[in-house]
Amino acid sequence: MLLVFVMVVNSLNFWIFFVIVLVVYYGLFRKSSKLQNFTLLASSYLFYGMVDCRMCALLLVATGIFYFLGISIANNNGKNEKVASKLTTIGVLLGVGLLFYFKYLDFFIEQFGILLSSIGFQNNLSTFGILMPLGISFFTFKLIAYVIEVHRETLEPSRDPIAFGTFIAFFPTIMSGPIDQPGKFLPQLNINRTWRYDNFSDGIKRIFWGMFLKMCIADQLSGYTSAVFGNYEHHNGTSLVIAAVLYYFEMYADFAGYSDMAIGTSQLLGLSISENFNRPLFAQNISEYWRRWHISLTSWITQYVYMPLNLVFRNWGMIGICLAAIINTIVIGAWHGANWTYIIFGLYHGVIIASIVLFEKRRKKLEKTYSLKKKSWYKNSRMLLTFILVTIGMVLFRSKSLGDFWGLLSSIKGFGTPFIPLDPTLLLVSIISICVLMIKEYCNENKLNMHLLHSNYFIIRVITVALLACFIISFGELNGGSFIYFQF
Amino acid sequence: MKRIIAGFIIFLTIFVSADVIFGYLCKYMESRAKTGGTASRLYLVQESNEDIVMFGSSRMSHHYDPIVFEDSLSLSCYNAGEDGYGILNNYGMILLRIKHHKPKMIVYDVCDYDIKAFDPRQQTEMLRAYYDVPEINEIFKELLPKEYLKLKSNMYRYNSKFFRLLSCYIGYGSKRDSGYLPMDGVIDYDVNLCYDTIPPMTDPIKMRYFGKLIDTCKANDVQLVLSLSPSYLAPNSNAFYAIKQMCNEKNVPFYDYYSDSIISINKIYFRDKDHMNSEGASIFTKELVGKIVTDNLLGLK
Repeated sequence: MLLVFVMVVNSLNFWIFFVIVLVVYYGLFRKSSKLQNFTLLASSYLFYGMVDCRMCALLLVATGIFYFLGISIANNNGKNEKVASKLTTIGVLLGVGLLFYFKYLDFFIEQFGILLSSIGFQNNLSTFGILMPLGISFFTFKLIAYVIEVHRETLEPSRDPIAFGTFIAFFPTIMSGPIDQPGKFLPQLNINRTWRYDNFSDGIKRIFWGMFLKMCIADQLSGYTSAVFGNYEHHNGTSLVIAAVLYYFEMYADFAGYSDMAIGTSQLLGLSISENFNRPLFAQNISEYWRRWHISLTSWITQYVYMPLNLVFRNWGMIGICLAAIINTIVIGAWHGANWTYIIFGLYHGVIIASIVLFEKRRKKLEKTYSLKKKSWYKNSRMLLTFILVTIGMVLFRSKSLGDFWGLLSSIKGFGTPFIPLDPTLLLVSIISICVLMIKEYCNENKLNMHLLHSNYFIIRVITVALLACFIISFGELNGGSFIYFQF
Repeated sequence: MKRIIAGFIIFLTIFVSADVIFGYLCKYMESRAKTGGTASRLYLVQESNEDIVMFGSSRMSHHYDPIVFEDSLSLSCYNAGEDGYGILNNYGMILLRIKHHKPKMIVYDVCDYDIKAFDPRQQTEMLRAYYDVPEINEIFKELLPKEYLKLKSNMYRYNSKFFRLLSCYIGYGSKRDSGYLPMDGVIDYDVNLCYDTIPPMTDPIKMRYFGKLIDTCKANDVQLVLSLSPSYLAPNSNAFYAIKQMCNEKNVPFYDYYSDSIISINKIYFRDKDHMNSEGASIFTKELVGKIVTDNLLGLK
């Protein structure tokens, strides 16, 4: 049981573990960046090893190989470009191969078997039942980004195995990201981190806000959404629509909550990591939504998939851009797991983005002619449309299979009294919390000077944090489950 | 560093004050609850003086009609069944009831919550309000020793309960006079006969608490009756074998109607797979009371 407790960032066990790390990190080793890195590496492997020691060995071997690959690529850069390119290709293939073997091989075998059966070939293909290491999608992307950046000479290879190992296995981010850019993270490990009030204050605020999102919104909503989606045949259209809308909030609060806690924890360690969300609920179209949602993944895919694809399709004009966008979003969808629902989820978003690209000129012309950009009804209706489109995508994302999704969609008929859970007060807590979230995001989005957590006054900041803590303990789901993104 | 210490002191002051105010508010609303589960629990541990008290989960509150008991045995009866709770919660409530007023008989309906290993934190959450009562404190010490510090906080004790207490305080919701909550309607979907829905392994913690329940009732001279009410299309009650055996060894009556040859196979007596409607409940309660009378458990003959 301990194993499971330690890995959940919002558990007491994690914070006991983290305080011990902090004491060693700042107390014993504050004068040496190498020893601080070693503390982070050891605690990261301990944290990861709690889940399964075999996974630790895989992480260690992969890190070792990419460490030497990085140095070899750098040694050949400029001198022997062909070798450097080949080594980079090997690195990329190795990373993709790892991901493919652990995440997709069983799926492909299964689908191949189905295909053979459908065309009349008897087959005995059986899957390997491969156990997927936690966080593999996150650390393989870091590894791939590292070799590419070294090859592009935008990054000096790490010649410190401890620092490189820390970058790959960094415990606040290994399970669910954000996926850090090596060029941003690695240089921070070269200098020793000292205890600074700003880091402490900002870190604590981020952690409490993350806990609020996770425990007062995501965990409170999961009871309702699971009850409705898990038994959709017995619910009417009203309940299904409400559950779909709430699931969007649940996903956002769960993932943004984790990201906030990871960012806050890193800040306490004196390290700055990538932001993952930028108020996606205020996005005015799907392209903008992807610039605001899971930013670290989308920027990775844009940098290493979309840009090269755009180059490949550069002579195809508008069709090339659309094709690159569709492939881009399919990769984003498939990254989440081996299931047709994720691929169709990507395709769905890709098609919408492609239509936005295709009609962009006309839209801009209309906006100019009627001065639409200044009109709030226009902005709000675009936001609402995006919200509806994302919500439909979320339902697809949550479905176990395409049949399940279709069954759920066809059940949205016969609107009536919505499903009321056994304890409706829990739903009330989540709705109040969603209102708090929306007010905060609205103020930030519109740059209204109504800061509480970031007030200029020290006393207001402390009171806000204290009241937030009281609200979490009084109304939050303290026995909540794991984070949704742990499964990816 | 000075700022951190100052911030910490302010934080702690607000936190402790909020904890005291929140605790006071919750206790106030709890002690004046008019409706719902809070009012029922309050009644059970402060006012109730019935001769027969019945405990269990939702299957208890929907299946056992106290009026049938009262008419047949000429003894007052109260149904204290609570949705979603098993022996861990009910053992605590039984201790509180015995402390307040010793009944002549306790009827306990055994269900899934009494054999499966559910999270003890969730299963004891309703007892947190009585943490200061020594008997309840003992349960927490034994089941959740790590919660010791957390339970000192009122906000933790009343976590997620504020709005529920508020609705009970203002009188929103139903009041349970005899505790019985009859269900209407007939099951409207097909149920497949499934042999392995319940794992045969019984949670050892639950078994220990059944042992404690039997010992407590014997020590207080309270007649304990364990019963398994009918479940729709239940093939057998093998999953409850360990509890049955314990009752057998400790000479406690155990009445098994789980796969009753008349009620369990008849759709018209059920609201859903696990719950009977009022018609089924009435037939079952009459059967059970008849058995209690036949076996002369209360020495009324």
